[in-house]
Amino acid sequence: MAYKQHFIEWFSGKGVPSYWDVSTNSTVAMTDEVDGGIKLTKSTANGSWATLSFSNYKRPFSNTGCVMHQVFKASTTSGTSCNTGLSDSKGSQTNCMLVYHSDSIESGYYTLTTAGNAAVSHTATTTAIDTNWHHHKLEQKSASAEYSIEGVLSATRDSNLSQSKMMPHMEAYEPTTNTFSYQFRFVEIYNT
Amino acid sequence: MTKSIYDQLNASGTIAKQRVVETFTGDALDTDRWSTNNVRGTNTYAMADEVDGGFKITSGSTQYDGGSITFNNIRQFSPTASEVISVTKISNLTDLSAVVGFSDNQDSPTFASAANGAVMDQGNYSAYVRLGTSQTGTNNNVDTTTSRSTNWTTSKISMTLSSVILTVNGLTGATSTGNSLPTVKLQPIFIGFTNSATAHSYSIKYMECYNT
Repeated sequence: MAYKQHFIEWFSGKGVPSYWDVSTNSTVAMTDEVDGGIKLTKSTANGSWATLSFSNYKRPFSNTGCVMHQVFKASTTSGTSCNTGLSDSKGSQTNCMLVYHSDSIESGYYTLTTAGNAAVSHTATTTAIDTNWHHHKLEQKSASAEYSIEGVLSATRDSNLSQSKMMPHMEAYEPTTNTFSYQFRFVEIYNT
Repeated sequence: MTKSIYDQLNASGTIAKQRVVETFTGDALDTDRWSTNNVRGTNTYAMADEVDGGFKITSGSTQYDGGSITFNNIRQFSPTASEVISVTKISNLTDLSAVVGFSDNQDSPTFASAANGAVMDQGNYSAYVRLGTSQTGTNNNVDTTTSRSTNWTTSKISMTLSSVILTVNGLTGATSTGNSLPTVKLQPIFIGFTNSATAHSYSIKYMECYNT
């Protein structure tokens, strides 16, 4: 069986590796905390953001067969929003497969979001957002997208799926003056 | 067989903790991850152009000159639930020291005042490889039965709430308990310094740290 693209990031060390594109008018920094990983903090500036993706739009992951594992947590469950997964772009969500942690999307439940064919769709899980570390797994298949939390399949979508190659996309953003942060300590992505 | 590293390292339903694996391979040290620190004097830091050479610190030539590599005080590892595995070697046995493990600062935790950490120590003040632990400057040094050598040495330091255990080349070598166990967050450290007016070198080719 031929080897396919595979990426692992532990977010350990003094700084953000240069293969990441850090796009922010807030703060993105490694944390000086046990098990803290990297922290994306949205400032109180209206509409500010903190985003990680790949530099120069390198998108090696397949929209018909890939898996992404993430371990992340949020600082709050109120007035907060993070979308994290795979996308074909840094800003818009034209083609993507994302986890949403937000109290303004799907009534504050962890949500699987996909975009493709000029439409964005959300499917909520039955797990309410919280501030604990969790293992999130996204799997893009040829005709569906699946989202598991701690190994339990929690949401599936089979429409408006990404139509384009993708890269990791982790973003703390909300068009408000709220401040909040998200920490990541593991990301693994591979084509299947 | 699963393709996922996550699934290979973590039991189903569990959440991965902090980890780093460094193989010290390439044209230069990964300075996104590591900082080099001239703890005393001016020292040099370079990848070795040698088979299995890894990365080398060469001290200055003034007594006690020494340098370290750390995470620049980004301390993501637990003092009570973590492990660090390293493969290191020293260039001679007579007048140098090299330690590898965890520290809360840029210096050897058993050398700096008020420091915290746990390290394998290959200093010339003992004939044996030893375990050093420190809590805010209260030190405990425990000899193993493994003689110091200039061969590559594999060490594993296991941190728990009640003890720190050093394994050398796969053999349990030393255990430290009591009030010298570190209690604060830690970062990986590799440091070498000369105990004479002669420059010495210290090499590392593998390091893995993880919380348990």
